Amino acid sequence: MSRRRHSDDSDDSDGQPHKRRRTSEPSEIEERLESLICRVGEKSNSSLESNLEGLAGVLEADLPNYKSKILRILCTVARLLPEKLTVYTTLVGLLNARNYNFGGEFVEAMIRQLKECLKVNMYNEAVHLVRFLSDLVNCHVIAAPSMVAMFENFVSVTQEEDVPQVRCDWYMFAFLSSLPWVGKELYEKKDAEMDRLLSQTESYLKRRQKIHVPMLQVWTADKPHPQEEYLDCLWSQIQKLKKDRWQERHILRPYLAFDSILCEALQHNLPPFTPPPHTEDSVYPMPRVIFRMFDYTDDPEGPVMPGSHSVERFVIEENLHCIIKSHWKERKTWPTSGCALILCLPLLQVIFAELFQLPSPPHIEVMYTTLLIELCKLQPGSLPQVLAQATEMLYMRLDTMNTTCVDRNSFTKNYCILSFDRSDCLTQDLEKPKPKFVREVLEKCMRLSYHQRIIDIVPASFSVLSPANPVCIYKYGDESNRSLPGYTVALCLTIAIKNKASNDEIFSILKDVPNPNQDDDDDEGFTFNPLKIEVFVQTLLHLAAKSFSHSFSALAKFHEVFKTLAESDEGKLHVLRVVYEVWKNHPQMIAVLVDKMIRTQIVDCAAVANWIFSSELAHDFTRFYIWEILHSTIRKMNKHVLKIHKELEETKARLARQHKRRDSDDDDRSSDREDGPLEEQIERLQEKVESAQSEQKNLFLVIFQRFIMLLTEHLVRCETGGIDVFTPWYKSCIERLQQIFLQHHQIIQQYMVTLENLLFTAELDHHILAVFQQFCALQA
Amino acid sequence: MSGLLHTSLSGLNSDSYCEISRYRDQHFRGSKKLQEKFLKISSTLYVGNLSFYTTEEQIQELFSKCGDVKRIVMGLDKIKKTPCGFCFVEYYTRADAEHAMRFINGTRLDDRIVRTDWDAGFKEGRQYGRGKTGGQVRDEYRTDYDVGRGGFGKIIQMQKANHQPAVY
Repeated sequence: MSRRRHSDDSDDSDGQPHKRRRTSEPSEIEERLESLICRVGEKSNSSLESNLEGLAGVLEADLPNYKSKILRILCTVARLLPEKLTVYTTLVGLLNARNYNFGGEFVEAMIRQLKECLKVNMYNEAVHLVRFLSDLVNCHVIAAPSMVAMFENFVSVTQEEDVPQVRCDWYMFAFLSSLPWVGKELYEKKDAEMDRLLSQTESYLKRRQKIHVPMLQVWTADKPHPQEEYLDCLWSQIQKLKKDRWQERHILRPYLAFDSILCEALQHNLPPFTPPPHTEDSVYPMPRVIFRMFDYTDDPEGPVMPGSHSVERFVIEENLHCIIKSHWKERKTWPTSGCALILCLPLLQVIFAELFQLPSPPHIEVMYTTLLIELCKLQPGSLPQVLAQATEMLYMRLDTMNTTCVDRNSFTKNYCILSFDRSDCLTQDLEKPKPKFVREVLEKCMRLSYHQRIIDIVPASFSVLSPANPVCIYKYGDESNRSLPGYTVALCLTIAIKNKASNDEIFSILKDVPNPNQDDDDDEGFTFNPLKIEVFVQTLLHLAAKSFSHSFSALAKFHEVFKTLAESDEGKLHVLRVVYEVWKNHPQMIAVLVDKMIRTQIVDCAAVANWIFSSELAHDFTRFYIWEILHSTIRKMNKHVLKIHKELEETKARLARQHKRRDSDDDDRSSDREDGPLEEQIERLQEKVESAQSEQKNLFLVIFQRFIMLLTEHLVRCETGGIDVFTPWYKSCIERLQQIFLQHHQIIQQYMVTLENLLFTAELDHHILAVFQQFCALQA
Repeated sequence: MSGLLHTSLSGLNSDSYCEISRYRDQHFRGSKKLQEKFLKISSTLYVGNLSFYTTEEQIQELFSKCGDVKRIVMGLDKIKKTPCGFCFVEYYTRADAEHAMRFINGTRLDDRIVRTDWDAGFKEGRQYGRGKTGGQVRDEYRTDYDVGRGGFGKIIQMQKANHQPAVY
């Protein structure tokens, strides 16, 4: 008895889960090794060189007992800590100098890891591995000619037939992006071969297609900074590097301090590396466009920012991307991560580049806001001012910024916006990007505070840009409206609901509502009766207007009524219309109500899509909240499909395990009867998956169809009227269409045939068709 | 050397903002171990240091930056049934809640630094303050003047009231 109690207490005492005690020494040593290796290169009292030398000594001593663990750790840091690449290559170099066999085994392990990465589509990590291998040439671990041979195999991928361009792109990128580290050494040893590789590169880059580029650009104008395709930019940087005789000044190269030791070491040859063939399951990284917003002219006082075609630019930006990737989760490491030490302009440019990346930032948007705030605290003398200037710059260039990026821009700027003079918006048409932006930002500010505060802050001259007071509009509220059809029923309903009426009582009250759509009311069933919907939804939402919780309660309580009234497609659409009519001043409320109604299946995703494109919403079509709702709807649909798919896979796995158990049991008594319920479940789930996937496809088709209709209308109108197609509305609309394609490209790829044959046919206006072609070019 | 890609290094997995804190709900029905288990899988957050005037809308806007919010339950004064400066935010997935712990915790809402912490899960009754006067316990004892949380702490308020000279 007492022993049991003791074990309960020991859980309380330190809150730590019980560790099973085994011979602790090996695991302690392994943990120590891990810690030593991971932490080398961090801030320390001793120099990096002495730390590396010391660590190499420790590891060499531990090789006999812990070789496999050490290999594993080193391979992993090579993959996961690319910002410390040269620190670890130097370490490996030192180990190789002391233990030739270990060096060989490490190289082999790295090649195995590289192949594994490529097999499972981990292309971004694979690039780091390739770079690591190439830097090992500098550390005398790998012989230069064998590295050149590997690159020759990479470049020859561009000769493969019938493979997607993105495959060739990746191998080209892996080759080119390693050259800042190893170009000098390779050129010194094998200049003829390198020249050949570079000329093959040039011809590939000339012939590859770049239809996808407009879709990925943040700015639609090339001034002041051209938005280059990433391979073109890198090529220019490498060409300049070559012209500078491969002199590269930014990369930290600890191995230089150990040159005398390392050049004594024996080198290994890389085994011949055949790029794994293209398969149906291969998914290569999407192409990118390099985001630029600063150049050296933007920082006249500070240290000169490297030119956009200098290789230093590439190296600095790569490094920053790696740092962000390693540290984004752990706020407390941001001060020491190296981010805080980097110059403001390159740092901000990389942060904005990620934030504005199309289709989505590599990490969750809110991280960047928090990061910027923390960095301002760490560099209070410089960063806040530069950030303010950057904000101003971004505002000035709003007219040419991709709509999706403008949304993300407002997301971060809501606390900067009010400190600058925005009077230029007042003279512009409210649909233009700048006034629109200010309105959206003010609306977002209001959501985070409250309406009166915005009114108090915004100068009177700007009041046209202020958001509406988010109050509900109840059409039956005023005595003066008593002539409206349904008014008396609305009053009845109000009293009934306040008296906690049941769903049945509500139904019976609603029976009295005439149907403006048909002469004789159908008593048996509930056909689509817009007036019934209007009266019920208006009244209920008005009564529940106090807060989100009140409204959600109302939806839940009267769910049955909603489901019945909104049974038909027209019913669903009308419910949405009425919600909009009641809450058009409070977009946030509309968004949460629509979300709830989808989740409780009062309306479906297709109904929301149709509603968004309906004429009633045309006035709000370019407002951010509409797209918030549409993207949220698509996300819900996608998550739903994934969820059911997962359920199906899990059930199949259960059945497989059951079979396995039976096979190993040899027991004849277990019959197919056991399989029955599971097999039935699988069949049901299979149907569910198919129906969900079909609903998902339908949703996208509806969205694309409506886009096409809307855009075509506009194009025809412009053509016949002889006016320029490219209005602010058009820019916004076409960029929204692009974003749908980009953000959900993997799912939409499945529908290519349908899209080509049904919607994006050759008869379509070339403006719209171009978007589809850009999309096809993304993974071509 | 199979599964090289599955190797993870504990030194690199630091995610300290997502760790569970030392706080344990004293009213939790179940063992400490059970509570800890729930805390580790929870997608519900306790949010503290809110102003009494912060609305559900503001909380929705802030926390939806991390993912779809499933439910917000405002913390209420047990007697007055008005907001008393805390709430629960429940996400559909733990991953979204983790983002909130990483990026919303310690940032501002309504000009106050908010604090988020894992919660074992909302149960009816937990939306009420547990202080003697109906609000949160912390508002009973604090001595500072906080305009967003009813001014002085309750005990101080009562002391001040007792010392008021009678007005005739």
